[in-house]
Amino acid sequence: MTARRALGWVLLVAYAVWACALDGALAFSLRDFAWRPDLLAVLLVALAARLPAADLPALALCCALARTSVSIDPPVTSFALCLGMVALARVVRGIVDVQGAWPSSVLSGACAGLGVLWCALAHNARLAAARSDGFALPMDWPLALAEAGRRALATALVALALGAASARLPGLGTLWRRTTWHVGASSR
Amino acid sequence: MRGTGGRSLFLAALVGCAWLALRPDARVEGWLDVALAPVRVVAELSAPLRWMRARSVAAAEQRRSERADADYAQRRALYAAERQAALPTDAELSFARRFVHVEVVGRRPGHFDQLEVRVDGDSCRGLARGMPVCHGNVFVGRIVELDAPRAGRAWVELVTAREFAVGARIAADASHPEVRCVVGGLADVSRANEGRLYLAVSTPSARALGGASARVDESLSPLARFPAEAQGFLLGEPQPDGEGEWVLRPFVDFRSGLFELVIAAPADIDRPADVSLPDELFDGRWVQARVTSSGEPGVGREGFELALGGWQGPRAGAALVHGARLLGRVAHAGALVSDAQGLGDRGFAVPVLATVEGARAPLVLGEFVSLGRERGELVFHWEAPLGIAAPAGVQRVRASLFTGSGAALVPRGLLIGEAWLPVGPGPHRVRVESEHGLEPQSTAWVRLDAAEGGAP
Repeated sequence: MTARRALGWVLLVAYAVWACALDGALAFSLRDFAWRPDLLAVLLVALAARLPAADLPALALCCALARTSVSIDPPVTSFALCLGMVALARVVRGIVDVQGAWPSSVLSGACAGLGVLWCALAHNARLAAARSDGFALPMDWPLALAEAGRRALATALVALALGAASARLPGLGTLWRRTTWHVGASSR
Repeated sequence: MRGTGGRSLFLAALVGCAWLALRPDARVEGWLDVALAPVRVVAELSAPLRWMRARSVAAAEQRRSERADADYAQRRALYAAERQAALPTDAELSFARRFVHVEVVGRRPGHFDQLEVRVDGDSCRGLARGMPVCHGNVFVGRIVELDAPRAGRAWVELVTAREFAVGARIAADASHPEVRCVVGGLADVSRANEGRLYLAVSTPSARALGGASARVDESLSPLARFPAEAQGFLLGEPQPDGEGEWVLRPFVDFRSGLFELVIAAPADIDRPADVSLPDELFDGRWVQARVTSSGEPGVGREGFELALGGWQGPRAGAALVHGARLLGRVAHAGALVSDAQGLGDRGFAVPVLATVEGARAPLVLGEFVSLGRERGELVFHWEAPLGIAAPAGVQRVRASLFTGSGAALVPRGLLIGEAWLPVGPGPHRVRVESEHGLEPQSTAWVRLDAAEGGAP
């Protein structure tokens, strides 16, 4: 790995931390605003559409570390979330080109919505496991689905506007832009 | 994801993390905490966002400091009122007995019907196994072990325990004769998950029980060790269970409504005069922690990250306070960082005590479980098996809510907020007006298990 690529990965972690922290700050400041986008999903999908397949696990790892550092969700929940998003992106990009604005925004929205459901399910399972007396409240599925829908739509709209730009944040281009040598090698 | 091996490894990691997220394993998570200790440094990358809010944080902390004296005074008044409310009001029940205050600390692991209690003065001197334990005029159980699990603590077995038995008498009324029976354990009609608990009645001396309340009467039992001290305390109200049997509806919420109790001991026990417990806010078991996140990115969650992990003392469940106000609780203590749940985090559960306008004694409300926030207000689920008794026509009462006892690392008397409480049995949704979690903060005080810190 070159120094430029290593710097690219470090910058990715920093951007991912800022995306999560900004998400959290928005949640704190705009408490009653339900249409909050998942900025990490936008960044992750934008890069997952462009990075070589071999780099996707590293992408999931960087995003999971960033989310773990600012979220109260347990690390395993964040890791499963990011690995799952990357797995979904990997499957979809094998079928359609997700570098375009529309496919990318739909995929970002889907990742964000499924992420909300996953985190709610994991949180509820932990609450039930933590209570020895069995008095945990059941999961409120209609509420979780409504929240997932709003999150998905807000994320899709932000991805439509900023998805491609997020992959071009300073320093991230080194992770996915192919050099002349790479292009030449792949055409041979 | 190069090749089949890479893909298999990726899938194994995904499935493994998902499995552990749904079925937590403390040992694996302990290793993960150590492996992820460097994440503490990663969290500092979000510092610029915190710097941008520095002025509003300072202003919010200044406002909280200005309210601190009033909060402490409210807390002291509540503490005195709660101790008074734990004593019997009936003059006959107070006669020739000595009452030793105990505070409920938690439940015995694996034994839901046993309470761990902290004895006044942290000393069990003069107390003995079998002494009755009461709340006001109500009998709740007996001491089964002293100085356990540590000195100054005791285990109390509740009357709801399967093997528990206490002699009872139901006074005669106009249409029923006096009935003697044995009370103990839960009746079959109890629905623990709905908070409906009824005491089982066995071997009654008549088929139908009267309308009078059942009271303890162990005068016929040769095995009872303290029959005179337990005599006359209330057990419950008889009612038919719908299947031809009778049960007792208890006067206290055995599931989550026992906070401050008294041991009814003989008047001449060898024990120094009662020394009440020191205020837990000033017992040196607090440490200040820096908040490293500016909000929680997860939907429906509320909390923050603390730059203080299990290696520095805090444990899961420890209270977070600012002054005498509860901010939240440590959900998970990692190696160098901790995840803290705010009051608005879904599933956040806390025992609650309330002072109601116009009432002298505080009300024991039991457990409140957070459902999140709506328009800035906290919304709690309250099972309320007994509800609040109020004069006819009154639909709700105004109350200040405080933490109760029973959560190991959450001191009682921490202010939660103000609310209108619905009267009558629940379940209810209660909206609580609280500034906690709405104002930004840079630090919080965390409760420790042992004395090694300062005071908030």
